[in-house]
Amino acid sequence: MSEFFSMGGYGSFIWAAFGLSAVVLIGLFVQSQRFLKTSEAELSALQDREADNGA
Amino acid sequence: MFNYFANPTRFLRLTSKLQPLAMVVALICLGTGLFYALFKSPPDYQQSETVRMMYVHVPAAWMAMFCYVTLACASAVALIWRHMVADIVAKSTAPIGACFTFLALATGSLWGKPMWGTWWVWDARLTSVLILFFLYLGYMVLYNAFDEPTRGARAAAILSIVGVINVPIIKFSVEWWNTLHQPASVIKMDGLAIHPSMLTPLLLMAVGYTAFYFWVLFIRTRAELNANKVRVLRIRQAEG
Repeated sequence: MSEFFSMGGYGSFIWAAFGLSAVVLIGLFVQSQRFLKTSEAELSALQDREADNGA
Repeated sequence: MFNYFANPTRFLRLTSKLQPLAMVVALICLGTGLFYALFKSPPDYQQSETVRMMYVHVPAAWMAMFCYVTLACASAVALIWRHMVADIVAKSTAPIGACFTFLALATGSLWGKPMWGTWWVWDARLTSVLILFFLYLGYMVLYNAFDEPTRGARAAAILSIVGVINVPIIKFSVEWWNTLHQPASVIKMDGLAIHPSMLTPLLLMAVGYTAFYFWVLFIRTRAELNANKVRVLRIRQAEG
């Protein structure tokens, strides 16, 4: 097990590369998903107001 | 085809259908790809275990260029035919491409330290990819630099089209100049130059990264379309 994590002595470089890739891609996904949610909320709030004004 | 999907409603309908598909492909390919990359694939005879960096470095570098070509093409369509959807695809691609470029640079640096003995060297390949990263950042800054969004979009589109000259420079930098970075070694003129045991995880990760790009692209384009509608409604309500 520890042999697997040490990766022939290069573990710190290899895990840093894989870890950084995971963090950046997951971060990008989360930020995009939040952007979608806030844009949907803003749009529906404005559309409600528009409907109220029309009534 | 461009005309057909230039209609935002049709585009929205298509992307909401494709989004779950991209998600499934991305998760399956990245999951199995990581398993092969970390457990199944053998160490390299020269680079030993560090060759595993290839499975996150190479797909990120491929996607960095793929996204840039997409950005430039979408920008050209947006500029010439004034297609709103093309502009939104370009705008949404830029941050994704910037992330992939950053990862190509950072994982390359982490690979360079144990194999070359240095984090960074100003060779043609590394420098041209750094310029690619700055092109993405420049595009995003320029896009948001104007009060009137359409002016920013036009300026950024022109920048991205001019910057496309950098893509062949990146590709051929390892042949035109003497670089520390190795030349292309997956596919050579005489065919595949990589053993299936390493090609399998590499291809899985590459397909996974591509599907991930489309997955996030569809999320971002939907968000941008909403944001456009918000802008229009705000103006209309302000005018009363």
